[in-house]
Amino acid sequence: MRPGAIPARPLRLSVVALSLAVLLAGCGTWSTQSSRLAPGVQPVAAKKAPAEIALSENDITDRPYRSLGDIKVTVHKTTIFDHDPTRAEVDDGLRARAVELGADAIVLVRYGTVGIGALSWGQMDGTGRAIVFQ
Amino acid sequence: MGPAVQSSSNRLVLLAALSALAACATEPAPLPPDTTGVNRQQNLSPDAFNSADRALGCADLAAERQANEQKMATDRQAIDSNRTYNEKVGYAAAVVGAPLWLAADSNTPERNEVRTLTLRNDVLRELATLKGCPG
Repeated sequence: MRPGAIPARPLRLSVVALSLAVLLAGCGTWSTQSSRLAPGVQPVAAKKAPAEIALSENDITDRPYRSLGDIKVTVHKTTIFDHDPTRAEVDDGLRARAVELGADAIVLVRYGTVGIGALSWGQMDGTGRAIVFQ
Repeated sequence: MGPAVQSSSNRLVLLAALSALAACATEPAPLPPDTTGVNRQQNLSPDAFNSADRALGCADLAAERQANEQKMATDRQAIDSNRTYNEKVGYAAAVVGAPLWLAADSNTPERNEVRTLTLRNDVLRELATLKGCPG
């Protein structure tokens, strides 16, 4: 090899690493969900679109409802180059899960704080109770 | 390397690891049991509250909840304002070494206060429901 020439192998590795980083950076965030259904509750066909699911950090006491269960969502950022997960992204995850349960709304929504997680440099948890109005 | 130096180095790495954990994401406070749904598993009862809380009126309950919300907003702001700094410390620690994690600011008091106040607001909200307070 000529003096001063760049060794081919480290260069190839750098290109692969950079390509991977660019590829993953396109993913932004990803999320995981879990839920604890109320006794006797079975998921039903979706009745509403995610955007139609109402979210409230409080309870609803002026309209009777049936609780479907407590749902939890964790939004992770994919790479260190991505933005931190936001409450809006957590809301999207909660709404998506609520639709799967056939819910009308989610009450008692609360959020964790962004920080390092086991699987990413930034993650945020959100939880709430999926309900269906009577 | 002598045993004393190695032991000290191990302690430093352990401390750094604990600091890293302190900068972890925190989960939201657990949801209270369902006491308002038609399929609720338990009912609200005055006996579930202490006498000082039972003596609070609707206005007192609303005022305390609002004050708690404001404190939590301040705490969250303090936590969020350190997030970028902690992230940079994390990246640097991944390259330079674990002891750099000691520079992270965990905001533990603020995180604990948010959790405590969330649980307190659950109690105030349930009491307001029991008393039939508006809103």
